[in-house]
Amino acid sequence: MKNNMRIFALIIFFGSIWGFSEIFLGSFLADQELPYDIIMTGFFAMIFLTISRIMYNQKGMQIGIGITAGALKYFNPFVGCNVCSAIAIMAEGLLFELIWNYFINYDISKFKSLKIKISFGIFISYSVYILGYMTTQILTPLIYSNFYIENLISFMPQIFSKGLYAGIIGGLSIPIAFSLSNIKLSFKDKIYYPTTIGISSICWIIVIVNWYIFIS
Amino acid sequence: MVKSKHNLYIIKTNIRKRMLFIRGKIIHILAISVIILGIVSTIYVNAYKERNNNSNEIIINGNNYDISTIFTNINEIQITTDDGKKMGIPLNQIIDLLKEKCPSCFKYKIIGSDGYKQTVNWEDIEKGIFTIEKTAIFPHLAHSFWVKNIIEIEVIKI
Repeated sequence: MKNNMRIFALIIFFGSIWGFSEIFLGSFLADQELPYDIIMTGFFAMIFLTISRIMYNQKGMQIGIGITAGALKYFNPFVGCNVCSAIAIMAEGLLFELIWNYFINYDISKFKSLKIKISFGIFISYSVYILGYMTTQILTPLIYSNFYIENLISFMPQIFSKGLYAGIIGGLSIPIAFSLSNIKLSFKDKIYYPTTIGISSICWIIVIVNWYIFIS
Repeated sequence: MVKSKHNLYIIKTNIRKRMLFIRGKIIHILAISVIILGIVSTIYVNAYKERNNNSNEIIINGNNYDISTIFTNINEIQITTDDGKKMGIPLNQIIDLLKEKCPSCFKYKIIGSDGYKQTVNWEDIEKGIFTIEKTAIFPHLAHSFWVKNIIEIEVIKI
Protein backbone atom coordinates (compact mmCIF):
# COMPACT_ATOMS: atom_id res chain seq x y z
CA MET A 1 0.00 0.00 0.00
CA LYS A 2 2.79 2.35 1.02
CA ASN A 3 4.76 1.40 -2.10
CA ASN A 4 1.68 2.00 -4.28
CA MET A 5 1.34 5.49 -2.84
CA ARG A 6 5.01 6.21 -3.58
CA ILE A 7 4.60 5.03 -7.19
CA PHE A 8 1.39 7.05 -7.60
CA ALA A 9 3.17 10.17 -6.34
CA LEU A 10 6.01 9.51 -8.79
CA ILE A 11 3.62 9.06 -11.72
CA ILE A 12 2.05 12.45 -10.95
CA PHE A 13 5.53 13.96 -10.44
CA PHE A 14 7.10 12.75 -13.70
CA GLY A 15 3.89 13.35 -15.68
CA SER A 16 3.60 16.91 -14.37
CA ILE A 17 7.23 17.75 -15.20
CA TRP A 18 6.89 16.24 -18.67
CA GLY A 19 3.60 18.08 -19.35
CA PHE A 20 5.05 21.33 -17.93
CA SER A 21 8.14 21.11 -20.17
CA GLU A 22 5.93 20.26 -23.18
CA ILE A 23 3.90 23.43 -22.63
CA PHE A 24 6.61 25.97 -21.87
CA LEU A 25 9.72 24.54 -23.53
CA GLY A 26 7.74 23.04 -26.42
CA SER A 27 6.04 26.39 -27.08
CA PHE A 28 9.39 28.20 -26.87
CA LEU A 29 10.93 25.78 -29.39
CA ALA A 30 7.88 26.19 -31.66
CA ASP A 31 8.29 29.99 -31.52
CA GLN A 32 11.92 29.55 -32.64
CA GLU A 33 10.50 27.57 -35.60
CA LEU A 34 12.28 24.44 -34.43
CA PRO A 35 10.67 20.99 -34.85
CA TYR A 36 9.44 21.01 -31.25
CA ASP A 37 7.41 17.78 -31.50
CA ILE A 38 10.48 15.82 -32.65
CA ILE A 39 12.71 17.34 -29.95
CA MET A 40 10.14 16.92 -27.20
CA THR A 41 9.50 13.25 -28.04
CA GLY A 42 13.05 12.27 -28.97
CA PHE A 43 14.70 13.95 -26.02
CA PHE A 44 12.43 14.95 -23.14
CA ALA A 45 9.82 12.20 -23.35
CA MET A 46 12.49 9.54 -23.74
CA ILE A 47 14.54 10.91 -20.83
CA PHE A 48 11.56 11.18 -18.43
CA LEU A 49 10.09 7.81 -19.38
CA THR A 50 13.38 5.90 -19.36
CA ILE A 51 14.68 7.33 -16.08
CA SER A 52 11.37 6.71 -14.30
CA ARG A 53 11.25 3.15 -15.62
CA ILE A 54 14.85 2.21 -14.80
CA MET A 55 14.81 3.78 -11.33
CA TYR A 56 11.51 2.31 -10.18
CA ASN A 57 10.93 -0.60 -12.63
CA GLN A 58 7.15 -0.49 -12.19
CA LYS A 59 4.95 -1.90 -14.95
CA GLY A 60 2.23 0.47 -16.11
CA MET A 61 3.98 3.52 -14.67
CA GLN A 62 4.71 5.05 -18.07
CA ILE A 63 1.04 4.85 -19.11
CA GLY A 64 0.16 6.84 -15.99
CA ILE A 65 2.93 9.37 -16.66
CA GLY A 66 1.64 9.81 -20.24
CA ILE A 67 -1.94 10.31 -19.05
CA THR A 68 -0.85 12.90 -16.46
CA ALA A 69 1.34 14.79 -18.96
CA GLY A 70 -1.40 14.66 -21.62
CA ALA A 71 -4.00 15.94 -19.16
CA LEU A 72 -1.73 18.85 -18.23
CA LYS A 73 -0.97 19.57 -21.90
CA TYR A 74 -4.71 19.93 -22.49
CA PHE A 75 -4.49 23.23 -20.63
CA ASN A 76 -1.88 24.61 -22.99
CA PRO A 77 -3.02 28.04 -24.20
CA PHE A 78 -0.10 28.50 -26.62
CA VAL A 79 -0.90 25.75 -29.12
CA GLY A 80 -4.24 25.62 -30.89
CA CYS A 81 -4.76 21.89 -31.07
CA ASN A 82 -4.93 20.90 -27.42
CA VAL A 83 -6.77 17.69 -28.18
CA CYS A 84 -4.17 16.48 -30.71
CA SER A 85 -1.21 17.16 -28.45
CA ALA A 86 -2.91 15.63 -25.39
CA ILE A 87 -3.76 12.48 -27.38
CA ALA A 88 -0.20 12.32 -28.78
CA ILE A 89 1.40 12.45 -25.33
CA MET A 90 -0.94 9.86 -23.84
CA ALA A 91 -0.29 7.57 -26.82
CA GLU A 92 3.46 8.05 -26.43
CA GLY A 93 3.33 6.91 -22.80
CA LEU A 94 1.34 3.82 -23.76
CA LEU A 95 3.56 2.92 -26.72
CA PHE A 96 6.73 3.37 -24.68
CA GLU A 97 5.32 1.01 -22.06
CA LEU A 98 4.45 -1.65 -24.64
CA ILE A 99 7.81 -1.55 -26.44
CA TRP A 100 9.78 -1.44 -23.19
CA ASN A 101 7.86 -4.39 -21.77
CA TYR A 102 8.57 -6.46 -24.85
CA PHE A 103 12.28 -5.71 -25.17
CA ILE A 104 13.67 -4.85 -21.78
CA ASN A 105 11.40 -5.98 -19.02
CA TYR A 106 13.03 -9.39 -18.71
CA ASP A 107 16.31 -8.02 -17.37
CA ILE A 108 17.48 -4.46 -17.59
CA SER A 109 21.01 -5.27 -16.38
CA LYS A 110 21.73 -6.95 -19.73
CA PHE A 111 21.54 -3.59 -21.49
CA LYS A 112 25.18 -2.89 -20.78
CA SER A 113 26.81 -2.05 -24.09
CA LEU A 114 26.53 1.46 -25.48
CA LYS A 115 25.78 0.03 -28.94
CA ILE A 116 22.63 -1.74 -27.76
CA LYS A 117 21.48 1.34 -25.83
CA ILE A 118 21.90 3.51 -28.95
CA SER A 119 20.09 0.97 -31.16
CA PHE A 120 17.28 0.65 -28.65
CA GLY A 121 17.08 4.46 -28.35
CA ILE A 122 16.77 4.87 -32.12
CA PHE A 123 14.12 2.16 -32.39
CA ILE A 124 11.95 3.14 -29.41
CA SER A 125 12.09 6.88 -30.10
CA TYR A 126 11.27 6.38 -33.82
CA SER A 127 8.43 3.95 -33.04
CA VAL A 128 6.93 6.05 -30.25
CA TYR A 129 7.05 9.18 -32.43
CA ILE A 130 5.51 7.71 -35.60
CA LEU A 131 2.90 5.59 -33.82
CA GLY A 132 1.96 8.52 -31.56
CA TYR A 133 1.63 10.75 -34.63
CA MET A 134 -0.57 8.15 -36.36
CA THR A 135 -2.75 7.75 -33.26
CA THR A 136 -3.36 11.51 -33.25
CA GLN A 137 -4.13 11.49 -36.96
CA ILE A 138 -6.72 8.76 -36.39
CA LEU A 139 -8.31 9.92 -33.13
CA THR A 140 -8.52 13.67 -33.78
CA PRO A 141 -10.63 13.36 -36.97
CA LEU A 142 -12.80 10.79 -35.18
CA ILE A 143 -13.49 13.27 -32.38
CA TYR A 144 -14.44 16.06 -34.80
CA SER A 145 -16.02 14.25 -37.74
CA ASN A 146 -14.92 11.20 -39.69
CA PHE A 147 -11.61 9.47 -40.16
CA TYR A 148 -10.52 8.60 -43.70
CA ILE A 149 -7.82 5.94 -43.86
CA GLU A 150 -6.64 7.06 -47.33
CA ASN A 151 -5.76 10.49 -45.91
CA LEU A 152 -3.50 8.84 -43.34
CA ILE A 153 -1.90 6.42 -45.82
CA SER A 154 -0.98 9.21 -48.23
CA PHE A 155 0.69 11.11 -45.38
CA MET A 156 2.65 8.11 -44.06
CA PRO A 157 5.92 8.93 -45.91
CA GLN A 158 5.92 12.35 -44.23
CA ILE A 159 5.45 10.74 -40.78
CA PHE A 160 8.16 8.12 -41.44
CA SER A 161 10.48 10.88 -42.60
CA LYS A 162 9.97 13.06 -39.51
CA GLY A 163 10.45 9.99 -37.33
CA LEU A 164 14.04 9.69 -38.58
CA TYR A 165 15.07 12.81 -36.64
CA ALA A 166 13.21 11.63 -33.52
CA GLY A 167 15.06 8.30 -33.85
CA ILE A 168 18.47 9.96 -34.11
CA ILE A 169 17.75 12.13 -31.06
CA GLY A 170 16.51 9.02 -29.21
CA GLY A 171 19.81 7.29 -30.04
CA LEU A 172 21.51 9.99 -27.96
CA SER A 173 18.92 10.54 -25.23
CA ILE A 174 18.37 6.92 -24.20
CA PRO A 175 22.06 6.28 -23.32
CA ILE A 176 22.03 9.58 -21.40
CA ALA A 177 18.89 8.45 -19.52
CA PHE A 178 20.54 5.11 -18.70
CA SER A 179 23.55 6.97 -17.27
CA LEU A 180 21.42 9.42 -15.29
CA SER A 181 19.35 6.63 -13.79
CA ASN A 182 22.49 5.18 -12.16
CA ILE A 183 22.42 8.06 -9.71
CA LYS A 184 21.09 6.66 -6.46
CA LEU A 185 18.59 8.86 -4.69
CA SER A 186 16.69 7.92 -1.60
CA PHE A 187 14.36 10.14 0.34
CA LYS A 188 12.58 9.56 3.59
CA ASP A 189 8.77 9.77 3.45
CA LYS A 190 8.95 13.03 5.36
CA ILE A 191 10.72 14.70 2.44
CA TYR A 192 9.55 12.41 -0.37
CA TYR A 193 5.82 13.22 -0.41
CA PRO A 194 6.07 17.00 0.14
CA THR A 195 8.73 17.22 -2.60
CA THR A 196 6.93 15.17 -5.29
CA ILE A 197 3.45 16.52 -4.52
CA GLY A 198 4.77 20.07 -4.06
CA ILE A 199 6.60 20.17 -7.41
CA SER A 200 3.65 18.54 -9.21
CA SER A 201 1.23 21.06 -7.66
CA ILE A 202 3.43 23.98 -8.68
CA CYS A 203 3.47 22.71 -12.30
CA TRP A 204 -0.33 22.37 -12.38
CA ILE A 205 -0.98 25.72 -10.68
CA ILE A 206 1.33 27.62 -13.05
CA VAL A 207 -0.20 25.97 -16.12
CA ILE A 208 -3.82 26.46 -15.08
CA VAL A 209 -3.29 30.08 -13.93
CA ASN A 210 -1.43 30.80 -17.18
CA TRP A 211 -4.23 29.17 -19.19
CA TYR A 212 -6.88 31.15 -17.29
CA ILE A 213 -5.03 34.45 -17.85
CA PHE A 214 -4.54 33.65 -21.54
CA ILE A 215 -8.18 32.66 -22.08
CA SER A 216 -9.65 35.62 -20.18
CA MET B 1 18.32 -35.88 -8.48
CA VAL B 2 20.65 -33.02 -7.56
CA LYS B 3 22.62 -33.57 -10.76
CA SER B 4 19.51 -33.44 -12.94
CA LYS B 5 18.43 -30.21 -11.22
CA HIS B 6 21.86 -28.77 -11.91
CA ASN B 7 21.63 -29.83 -15.58
CA LEU B 8 18.21 -28.23 -15.88
CA TYR B 9 19.62 -25.00 -14.42
CA ILE B 10 22.47 -25.03 -16.98
CA ILE B 11 20.04 -25.63 -19.85
CA LYS B 12 17.79 -22.79 -18.62
CA THR B 13 20.77 -20.43 -18.32
CA ASN B 14 21.94 -21.31 -21.82
CA ILE B 15 18.48 -20.72 -23.28
CA ARG B 16 18.30 -17.40 -21.45
CA LYS B 17 21.72 -16.35 -22.77
CA ARG B 18 20.72 -17.37 -26.31
CA MET B 19 17.45 -15.40 -26.02
CA LEU B 20 19.31 -12.30 -24.85
CA PHE B 21 21.76 -12.63 -27.73
CA ILE B 22 18.91 -12.96 -30.25
CA ARG B 23 17.00 -10.03 -28.77
CA GLY B 24 20.15 -7.91 -28.86
CA LYS B 25 20.55 -8.73 -32.56
CA ILE B 26 16.85 -7.98 -33.18
CA ILE B 27 17.23 -4.52 -31.61
CA HIS B 28 20.18 -3.70 -33.91
CA ILE B 29 18.25 -4.94 -36.96
CA LEU B 30 15.18 -2.90 -35.95
CA ALA B 31 17.28 0.24 -35.45
CA ILE B 32 18.89 -0.14 -38.88
CA SER B 33 15.45 -0.85 -40.43
CA VAL B 34 13.86 2.30 -39.04
CA ILE B 35 16.85 4.41 -40.17
CA ILE B 36 16.53 3.01 -43.71
CA LEU B 37 12.76 3.59 -43.66
CA GLY B 38 13.31 7.17 -42.47
CA ILE B 39 15.95 7.92 -45.13
CA VAL B 40 13.88 6.46 -47.99
CA SER B 41 10.80 8.39 -46.82
CA THR B 42 12.78 11.63 -46.55
CA ILE B 43 14.03 11.24 -50.14
CA TYR B 44 10.47 10.53 -51.34
CA VAL B 45 8.94 13.44 -49.39
CA ASN B 46 11.53 15.94 -50.69
CA ALA B 47 11.02 14.78 -54.29
CA TYR B 48 7.21 15.07 -53.85
CA LYS B 49 7.50 18.57 -52.34
CA GLU B 50 9.88 19.72 -55.08
CA ARG B 51 7.34 18.66 -57.69
CA ASN B 52 4.39 20.49 -56.09
CA ASN B 53 5.82 23.43 -54.21
CA ASN B 54 6.27 26.17 -56.77
CA SER B 55 2.82 26.30 -58.30
CA ASN B 56 0.78 29.49 -58.04
CA GLU B 57 -2.27 27.55 -59.06
CA ILE B 58 -4.80 25.47 -57.22
CA ILE B 59 -6.67 22.54 -58.73
CA ILE B 60 -10.34 22.41 -57.78
CA ASN B 61 -12.24 19.38 -59.01
CA GLY B 62 -9.74 18.92 -61.85
CA ASN B 63 -9.76 22.57 -63.00
CA ASN B 64 -6.76 24.86 -62.56
CA TYR B 65 -7.31 28.27 -60.94
CA ASP B 66 -4.76 31.06 -60.56
CA ILE B 67 -4.48 31.98 -56.89
CA SER B 68 -3.77 35.69 -57.45
CA THR B 69 -6.85 35.91 -59.69
CA ILE B 70 -8.96 34.28 -56.98
CA PHE B 71 -7.70 36.81 -54.44
CA THR B 72 -8.42 39.69 -56.84
CA ASN B 73 -12.00 38.55 -57.45
CA ILE B 74 -13.04 37.52 -53.96
CA ASN B 75 -12.90 39.79 -50.92
CA GLU B 76 -10.87 38.68 -47.92
CA ILE B 77 -12.50 38.37 -44.51
CA GLN B 78 -11.08 38.17 -41.01
CA ILE B 79 -11.93 35.33 -38.65
CA THR B 80 -11.01 34.67 -35.04
CA THR B 81 -9.33 31.38 -34.22
CA ASP B 82 -7.69 29.95 -31.11
CA ASP B 83 -4.43 30.92 -32.82
CA GLY B 84 -5.41 34.60 -33.17
CA LYS B 85 -7.06 36.52 -36.01
CA LYS B 86 -6.61 35.20 -39.56
CA MET B 87 -7.27 36.80 -42.94
CA GLY B 88 -8.37 34.90 -46.03
CA ILE B 89 -11.11 34.34 -48.54
CA PRO B 90 -14.11 32.21 -47.58
CA LEU B 91 -13.58 28.65 -48.79
CA ASN B 92 -17.23 28.36 -49.81
CA GLN B 93 -16.75 31.19 -52.30
CA ILE B 94 -13.87 29.27 -53.90
CA ILE B 95 -16.09 26.20 -54.21
CA ASP B 96 -18.81 28.44 -55.68
CA LEU B 97 -16.48 28.93 -58.66
CA LEU B 98 -17.48 25.39 -59.66
CA LYS B 99 -21.12 26.54 -59.92
CA GLU B 100 -22.31 23.34 -58.27
CA LYS B 101 -26.06 23.38 -57.59
CA CYS B 102 -25.83 21.30 -54.46
CA PRO B 103 -22.48 21.91 -52.74
CA SER B 104 -23.72 20.23 -49.58
CA CYS B 105 -24.11 16.98 -51.57
CA PHE B 106 -20.32 16.62 -51.67
CA LYS B 107 -17.34 16.10 -49.39
CA TYR B 108 -14.16 18.07 -50.00
CA LYS B 109 -10.70 16.55 -49.83
CA ILE B 110 -8.09 19.24 -49.29
CA ILE B 111 -4.59 18.21 -50.38
CA GLY B 112 -1.31 19.89 -49.35
CA SER B 113 1.96 19.94 -51.31
CA ASP B 114 3.51 17.47 -48.83
CA GLY B 115 0.75 14.90 -49.41
CA TYR B 116 -1.19 15.85 -46.27
CA LYS B 117 -4.94 15.43 -46.83
CA GLN B 118 -8.06 16.17 -44.85
CA THR B 119 -11.66 15.54 -45.86
CA VAL B 120 -14.33 17.97 -44.67
CA ASN B 121 -18.07 18.56 -45.16
CA TRP B 122 -19.78 21.56 -46.72
CA GLU B 123 -20.65 22.84 -43.21
CA ASP B 124 -16.91 22.97 -42.47
CA ILE B 125 -16.16 24.63 -45.83
CA GLU B 126 -18.72 27.33 -44.99
CA LYS B 127 -16.80 28.22 -41.83
CA GLY B 128 -13.29 27.93 -43.30
CA ILE B 129 -11.01 30.38 -45.08
CA PHE B 130 -8.19 30.11 -47.61
CA THR B 131 -5.22 32.34 -46.82
CA ILE B 132 -2.73 33.95 -49.18
CA GLU B 133 -0.14 31.46 -47.85
CA LYS B 134 -2.38 28.75 -49.39
CA THR B 135 -3.51 27.40 -46.01
CA ALA B 136 -7.03 26.21 -45.22
CA ILE B 137 -8.11 27.35 -41.76
CA PHE B 138 -11.16 25.99 -39.97
CA PRO B 139 -11.74 27.87 -36.72
CA HIS B 140 -14.14 25.24 -35.34
CA LEU B 141 -11.92 22.21 -36.05
CA ALA B 142 -8.66 20.88 -34.60
CA HIS B 143 -5.48 22.20 -36.17
CA SER B 144 -4.83 18.83 -37.77
CA PHE B 145 -7.58 19.89 -40.24
CA TRP B 146 -5.65 23.03 -41.19
CA VAL B 147 -3.94 22.02 -44.42
CA LYS B 148 -0.87 24.03 -45.40
CA ASN B 149 0.30 24.85 -48.91
CA ILE B 150 -2.82 23.54 -50.64
CA ILE B 151 -2.37 22.31 -54.20
CA GLU B 152 -5.74 20.67 -54.79
CA ILE B 153 -9.32 20.41 -53.56
CA GLU B 154 -11.05 17.23 -54.67
CA VAL B 155 -14.84 17.21 -54.77
CA ILE B 156 -16.27 13.83 -53.77
CA LYS B 157 -19.88 12.75 -54.16
CA ILE B 158 -21.31 11.54 -50.85
